[in-house]
Amino acid sequence: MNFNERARLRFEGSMKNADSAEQAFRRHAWDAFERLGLPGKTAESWKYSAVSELTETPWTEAPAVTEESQAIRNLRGLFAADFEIVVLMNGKTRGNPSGEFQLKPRTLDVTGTPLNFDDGFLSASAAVNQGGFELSVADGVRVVRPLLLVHVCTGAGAWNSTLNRIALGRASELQLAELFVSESGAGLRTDITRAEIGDGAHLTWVRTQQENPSATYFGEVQAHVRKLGRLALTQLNCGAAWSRGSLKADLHGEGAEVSINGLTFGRDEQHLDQRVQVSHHASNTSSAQLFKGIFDGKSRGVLNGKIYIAHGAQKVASSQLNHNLLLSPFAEANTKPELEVYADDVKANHGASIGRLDEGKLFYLMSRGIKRSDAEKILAQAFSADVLMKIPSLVLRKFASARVADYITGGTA
Amino acid sequence: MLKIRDLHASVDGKEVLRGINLDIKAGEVHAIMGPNGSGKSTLSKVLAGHPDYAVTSGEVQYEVNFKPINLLALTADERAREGVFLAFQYPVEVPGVSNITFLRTAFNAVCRHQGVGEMNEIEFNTFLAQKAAVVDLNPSFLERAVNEGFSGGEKKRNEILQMAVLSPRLAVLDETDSGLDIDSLKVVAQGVNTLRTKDNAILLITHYQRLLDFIVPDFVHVLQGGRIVQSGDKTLAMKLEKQGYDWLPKGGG
Repeated sequence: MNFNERARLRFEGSMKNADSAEQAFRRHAWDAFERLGLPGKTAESWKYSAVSELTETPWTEAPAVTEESQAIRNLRGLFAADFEIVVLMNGKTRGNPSGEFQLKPRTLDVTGTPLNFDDGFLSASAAVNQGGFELSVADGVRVVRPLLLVHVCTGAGAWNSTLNRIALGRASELQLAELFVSESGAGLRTDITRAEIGDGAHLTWVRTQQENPSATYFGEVQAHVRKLGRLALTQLNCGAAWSRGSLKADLHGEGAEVSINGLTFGRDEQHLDQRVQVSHHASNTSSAQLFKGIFDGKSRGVLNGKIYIAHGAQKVASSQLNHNLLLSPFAEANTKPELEVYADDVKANHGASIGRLDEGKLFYLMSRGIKRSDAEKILAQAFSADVLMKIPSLVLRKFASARVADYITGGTA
Repeated sequence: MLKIRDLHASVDGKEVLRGINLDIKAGEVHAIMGPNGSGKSTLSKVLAGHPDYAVTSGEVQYEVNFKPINLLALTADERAREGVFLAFQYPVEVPGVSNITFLRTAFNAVCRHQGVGEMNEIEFNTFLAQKAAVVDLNPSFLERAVNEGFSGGEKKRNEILQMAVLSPRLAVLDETDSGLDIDSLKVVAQGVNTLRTKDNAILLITHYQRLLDFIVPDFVHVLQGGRIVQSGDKTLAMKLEKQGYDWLPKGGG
């Protein structure tokens, strides 16, 4: 059986116990997959990451898990002081935790704000999804305590496909951290999240991909930001043998502001592909992207960042920066900034760089007694500092900084 | 403490040091003067272990626990942990690393190596505040990124602060006076004098006699063409100030 046949079996299986709304959603996604097919070798958006990495393995279905491991209980302890914590085991929550927010197993709705199915693999993942969450904050509610979602993947060789929805009501606020970890190696996670940020709502969001080093990861975020809405999203990538993440934000109302930043750390033979697309559909909107990558060993990083400004979206300010550090002669960074602008009264700029650690700075640190390996770590941390400084929530900044510090100094995050 | 014998070194394939001989004992302050391009800065970089400077022949013996060791066999960080310190002519800016973190990391690296207890954050902050007062450096500079946005004078004070924190046995000060106004020069010199003890030695590399009014050396050497062509006491510096370097042998070869 090839991927299409295996996916069809899975899709058909998932239709059996579904209600009519869910069936309609799955059908919609499956139709998109049938129409688009898997991206071919020449597909520009898969230029650096062959889709065969995702489709050639005959993944099994992820098991239903009820018990939390000791490692997860430890994580709870570590973050309990700062966060409300919800653990999702293979996409499933236990209970429906709620407070100032509601979190429940998500319902599927194709009529409201559908996902943008512009990619065959994404469509197939959505069609066969086996769980996920729906997180909503009501109009005017400012959630005080930050929320941490821990996404745990289990089952060696299993494909864990989740689909989630985050909906922030008008003038609501949420600080959200997500941690993606895998308990057994060599599985595939596909995780698709739709985020709707209502008029004047603020979402501060940190996502940390720190899967098992042999895992495969495919992540997609599609965010819609309405009038005066604000999204501050920070993506950290340091796990998985092969990872491809895509962050898309559409600015649909005047005064909307998006800042999408990220840090990617590669070592050994990791392949880490990050795509970012910010689309301005309304006037007087602004966006900024800052992505940095540090690549060691034989790792390979890709950053494909795009700014799209629609016809008639005037007075838009948009910027995109990508800076990379290569720590080894065998590491590789590919950066591809793109601008697609159809309005004339806009500011859009981009820049990219690929460099090595500054020997002058290394010598300076070493001349004070600091070992070269430690000096390298200090400089790598310094390189990532400005991305972390952009996180507007103190708790989330502390969380992300600690993940980065652990990764750099400890070897694993 | 330090014995340099027939030291030859080159940078980018060009020989800059052409047979340096120099003995420095504990408690002494030596000044090295010389015209531009004579090899003064190269000597300081070679002693600190800068990888761009290649020693082609000769030896440098440095005494550790009363036993001479081959300094040239050590990497820059190993030398620093054995008590060798270079105050940079052009201190390096390190954005993203706070001065205080940098100083504590360096201090503890040296302590660990020398078998002295490390300090925790609170102990170190108290210790550091005392040292910052020695060079009259505003404590706000400790929270800032290393040398980033510091004026020339502030950078030089920060170098002497690092020296005060690490208390080296051999301090090489490479044109620490350059770019300083007279007030900063006095502060820096006062700081160095405070750190001068019978157990450590200081090698001052300078262009101008001016610094030696404030840090009085025991010996003055003239470097010309990659060799020490004249040595004397502090009166030699005064003579150089009046007569320049033309009356001396050219060195080189």
